Amino acid sequence: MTVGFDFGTTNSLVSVVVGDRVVDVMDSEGRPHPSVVRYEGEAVIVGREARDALEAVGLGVHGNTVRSPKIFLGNEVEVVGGVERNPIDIVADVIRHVKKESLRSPQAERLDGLRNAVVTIPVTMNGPRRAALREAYRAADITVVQFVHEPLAAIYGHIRGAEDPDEELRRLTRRNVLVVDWGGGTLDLTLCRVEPTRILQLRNGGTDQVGGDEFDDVIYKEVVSRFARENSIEPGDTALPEARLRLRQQAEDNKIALSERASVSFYRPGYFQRSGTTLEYSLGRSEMEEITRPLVDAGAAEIQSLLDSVGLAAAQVSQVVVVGGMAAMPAIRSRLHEIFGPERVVVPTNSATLVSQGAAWIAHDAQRLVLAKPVELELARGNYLPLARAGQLMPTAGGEWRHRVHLYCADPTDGSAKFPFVSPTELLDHPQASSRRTTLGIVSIRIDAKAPPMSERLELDVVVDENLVLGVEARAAQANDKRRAEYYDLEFGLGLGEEERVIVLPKAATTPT
Amino acid sequence: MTRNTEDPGDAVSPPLPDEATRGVTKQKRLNRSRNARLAATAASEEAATYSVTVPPASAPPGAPSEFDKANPDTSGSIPHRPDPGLHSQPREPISTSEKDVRRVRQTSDEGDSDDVSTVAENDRGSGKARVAGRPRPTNLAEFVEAAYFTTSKFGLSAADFEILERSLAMDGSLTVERDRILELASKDQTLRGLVNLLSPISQHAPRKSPLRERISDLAIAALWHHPLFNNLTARPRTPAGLPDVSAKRIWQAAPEVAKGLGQSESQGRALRANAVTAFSLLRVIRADWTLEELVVALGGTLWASVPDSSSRSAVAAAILVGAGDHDLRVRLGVLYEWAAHATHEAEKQSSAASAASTINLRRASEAEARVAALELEVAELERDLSERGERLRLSEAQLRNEKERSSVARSHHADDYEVLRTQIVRQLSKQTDLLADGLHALRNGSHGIAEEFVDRALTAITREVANLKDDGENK
Repeated sequence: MTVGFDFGTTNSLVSVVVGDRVVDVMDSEGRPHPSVVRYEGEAVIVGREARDALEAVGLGVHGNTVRSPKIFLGNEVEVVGGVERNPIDIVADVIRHVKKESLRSPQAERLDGLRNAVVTIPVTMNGPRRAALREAYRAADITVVQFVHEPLAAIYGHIRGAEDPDEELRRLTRRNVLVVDWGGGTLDLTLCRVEPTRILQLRNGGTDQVGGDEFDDVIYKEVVSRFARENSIEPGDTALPEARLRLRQQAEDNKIALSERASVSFYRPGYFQRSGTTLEYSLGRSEMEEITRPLVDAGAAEIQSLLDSVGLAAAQVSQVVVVGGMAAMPAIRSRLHEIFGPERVVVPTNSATLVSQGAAWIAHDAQRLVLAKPVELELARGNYLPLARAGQLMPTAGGEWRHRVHLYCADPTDGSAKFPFVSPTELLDHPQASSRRTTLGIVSIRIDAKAPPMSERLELDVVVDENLVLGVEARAAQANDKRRAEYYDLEFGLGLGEEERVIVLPKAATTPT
Repeated sequence: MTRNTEDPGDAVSPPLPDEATRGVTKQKRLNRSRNARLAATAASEEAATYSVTVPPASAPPGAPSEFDKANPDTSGSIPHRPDPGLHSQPREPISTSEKDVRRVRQTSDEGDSDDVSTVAENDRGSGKARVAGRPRPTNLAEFVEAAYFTTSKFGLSAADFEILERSLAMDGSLTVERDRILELASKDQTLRGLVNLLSPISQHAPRKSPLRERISDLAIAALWHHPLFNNLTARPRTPAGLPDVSAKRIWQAAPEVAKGLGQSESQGRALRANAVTAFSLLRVIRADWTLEELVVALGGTLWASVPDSSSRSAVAAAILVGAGDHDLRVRLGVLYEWAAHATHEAEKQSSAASAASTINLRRASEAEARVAALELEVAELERDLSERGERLRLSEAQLRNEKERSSVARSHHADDYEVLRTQIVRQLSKQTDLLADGLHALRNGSHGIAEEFVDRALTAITREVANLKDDGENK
């Protein structure tokens, strides 16, 4: 049994397919587990208890508490409460907590000990962070069978979990679908192309500057600021931590409540500690939209940038699927309606947990990622040498895909050989020389400038590892030079039909591709 | 013990003038025992040649033997003259049962005491023929004559043998004797004379003596002269060749030949007994045995195979041991009776073994049938077991599916419940906080805030109630 595991920036959740539907394994309050951990001496407090005790907003370390530890993955060390801690250990503490709580839930018997998981990752997560995340899972005794981008998991879950998946697939076939995963910590975007038997990522994008916590933070701060200004509260007259925590929670609730009411009130008796003044502020919808507009604009800009990168207009997107906690915020919906039109914006009822559910469906269907676009080496005179074809199966836990290319330098006179790695911008089965390419990166190595043409032998090893990172190593035999590089910004695809499914094996049984 | 005479006039040989005057009663007793003894000789001869057992299987030990009934006049001691009265004497069956053996002993020791002692004295070489008024045979022709015409005891002393031997030396040809014996034999339809001729030779004639050879040649000529042997088998080219038949075959053929000759039933029995006896004696003589040697050999062979548990063996052995110099034919008769019994017992055992074998074969056959049936049953059971196993596997698969379905349903129900429970908890918690803040606002004069919070709380609660109702109706 393999589950779906969404280790989110702000919340984490395990979902599992039971019978013909997916079940979210929530905490005791019916909500995902907050990705928050607090260290009190030897005690480790994780989840809602740690989150409720944290009055500070924003991601990162707050005293002895770490909020969204995922953002520290890749760092060597992080100081928490004066103690140096390995981010992998901090993340492992959260994963362990989620696992333990899930196994205590009524769905425990369906989780098979929660030993294998399809884990979602942000599209912006780089290779070292993915490796660190896998290690953290391993520390929690969970094998990451396969990583999958959060928005890709969301669209898969949206189609697969529909009341009539086939009908939903037919409706979206040969259309561009934009998945907007606007969660508490990050905005992840994936522009997909739905084909009859598969979903392919056309372009990914995202930012961690416009997460839902940022919205709560600016609303909270703006309300306090305006009330203090209107009521001449002295700058030093601050609130108690508990009062701040309650007011921030009100900000979170009120931003949702404004979808139904023209205005909502913030009320916190004795908020200002020194004067004992009660905070009492009425926030109208337009005012909140004004407060949060910079964030919404930033998110919209990110979306537009994504569309621009592939040369698509908003009108060419047939459907926008909005998931994540921020999908319920009216300001965001309004902006998406403005960009794409209300009829093309879909906010599923399960938008808050759709990423985790999608991962669960992928695990259940034994789907395996494929490369959505070929990876090519740009040669001289506009020729492109395919290094990895589109549709190439991606390795699962413990596996890797490897390819070696032998080349000869045609013109060594400048003393270097350049390896430009590109990928077609569009989804093309047979990209032409004239097709637009997006550069993944360039690797340059030193060669013998005095060598005659076609004498210097060059070798290029291309590897895709279990973390879906493309690694290249170029070597010049005569000059005895070599360079390595890694690229994580790849697009993937998932099958949708039975014939596309490939068994996802645990690490011990995985055969390297 | 006396019996009625079966056929007083069945003697074929013409009686001599003095036969009528001979005392009959004493001779009857003598003959009763002799009948059995001589028959036993024939039977023993049969056994010695390893042919089929002579006496009919229907003749139980202890009952009057067929030989006794058929040949009342062929007693162990050869009378000097044929006595027609012997043929009509009641016989006592010789039996080797304890009772009958005792009777035989009595016959030997008491009833036959006179005759036997006479014969014994003669045999012991007193040199005198004890038959009053009878001239001693001085040559072979006279001996033949005496054998064919003597009805009383007939025996030869050592002196007699010497005389006969000397006569042979003077006249080696047998032309006259052969003609004479053929003439006599033509009238000897029951072969009694032939038995008389051979009996003393077989008992007392020295081995390797020319007399044995000459007599046996004459006897063979006479034997072949009789229709029984003439019709029974082809005559060999050599004049002295014995018929190549078994005593049993002779025994079986005799009644039919007798019937063809117009003989009575008792004469037929006599012919059968005498034919077998003569045939046996001839074989003894030709083998250069004495009758005693034959008896000893047969006894040694047959007694050795007698089961120790048989009481007959002890009795018969006692007879043999105690017989002394009595007529060897008495001993041979006892031996025959025992052999007949042993053969009968062997036949019974063989029959029982055969029956047991048949039963065992039948049982084996039945067992094989049962095995086959059991194998079929096993195959049927195995097939049934296989079918049941298949059904069990299907049932197990169904059970697993059912359990899985049940588990899935349980998970769904648990999920539905958790979703509903946590949703209500969250809503109630939120609305409680909202109402608490609203109450606080109300108490502090912030009526607008209070009204809004109450309104929001009521709206949320109302919506939640409506959702719950919808869920209930949808289900």
